[in-house]
Amino acid sequence: MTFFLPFFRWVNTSSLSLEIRASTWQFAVIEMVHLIGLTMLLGSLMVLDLRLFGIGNVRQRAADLARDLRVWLLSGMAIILGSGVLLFFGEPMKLYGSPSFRVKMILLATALIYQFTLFSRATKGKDSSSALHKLAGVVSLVLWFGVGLAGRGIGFL
Amino acid sequence: MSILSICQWLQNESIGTSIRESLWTFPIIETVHLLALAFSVGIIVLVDLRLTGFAMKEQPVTEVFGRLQPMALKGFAINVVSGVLLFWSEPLKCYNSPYFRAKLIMLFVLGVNALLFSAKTYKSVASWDKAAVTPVPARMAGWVSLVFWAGVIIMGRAIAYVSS
Repeated sequence: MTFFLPFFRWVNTSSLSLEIRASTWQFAVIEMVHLIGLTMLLGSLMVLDLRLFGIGNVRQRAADLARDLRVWLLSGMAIILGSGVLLFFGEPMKLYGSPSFRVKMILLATALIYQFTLFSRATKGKDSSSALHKLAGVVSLVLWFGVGLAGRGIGFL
Repeated sequence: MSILSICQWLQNESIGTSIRESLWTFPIIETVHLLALAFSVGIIVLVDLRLTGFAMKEQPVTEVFGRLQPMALKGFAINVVSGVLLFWSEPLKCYNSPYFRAKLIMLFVLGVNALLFSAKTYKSVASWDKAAVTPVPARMAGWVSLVFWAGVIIMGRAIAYVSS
C-alpha cells in the first residue's frame, strides 16, 4: 500500500481537501448526496437483478427493462461516484489506514468492470430466464451490496 | 405520560440498552437499515418515476405497480423494523434531534400521500393505465413522494451528526 501513499498525501494537501475539512457542513451534505445516489443506483440495480432472477417485472423482456432503467442506473452511479470522490478528499488519511476502504475499492473496481462487460452482455441476450441471467443478477447484487457493506464499515471500523 | 417520559423509560429499558452497549448490534442494525434503502425507497423511486413520466413509460402503470409495490412494501417493512430498533437504542437522542422530528413529519406526509393516492387517484387507473403522461393528481403524488423521500434520507443522515 505504500505505493499509493504519495497520492493520498497529495490529496491531503490539496486545496479541495483543506476546504472540505475546514467546513463544518460540507462533508455532511456530500454524504447525504452520496446516500441519495446509493438509493438510485442500488434501487434500479435491485429491480433489474431481480428481473433477471425471474422476480418482479417479468412481462417485460430483461433487455427492455435494462434499457428503461439505464439512464437512472447511470445517473445514480454518476451521483454516487462524484460524491464519493469528494468524500475521499474529505478524509484521505483516515481512508488510507482503513481496511474497509481498501476492500470497498477492490469491490468497486470489480463491480464497475463486471457491470460494463459481462453484465451488460448478459442483459442484451433474448432469452430472459436462463441460468446465465440468474447468475448475472446474483453476482451484480453481491458485488454492489458488498461495496455498500464495506462502505458502511468505514464509519465503524 | 409525556412523550419525553416514554423516551426516558425506553432509554433505560433493557432491549434498548443492550443494543446501545453492544459493540456489534447497533452497527449491524444500522447497516441493514441503510442497505434496505435500495429495497424500499429505491424501488419506490422507480414507481414514482413511472407516475411522473420519467421511466418505463411504455409499461402499463398497473404492471409497474403490481410488480414493484409488493417488493417495495417488503423493503419498507425491513426499514421500519430496523428503524424502530435504532430508535429504541437511543430514544433521548432522537427526541432531542430536530432532524428526527422532521423525518417523522415527512414520513407522515408520505403516508397521507400514499393513502390518498391509493384511495382516490389510483381508482381511475384503468383510464390512464397505458398513458405515458399520467393525470395531474398522479403526477403530483409521484413528485411529493420523490421530494419527501429524498428529505427522509437527508434527515435520517443528519440525525447521526447531532451530538447529545
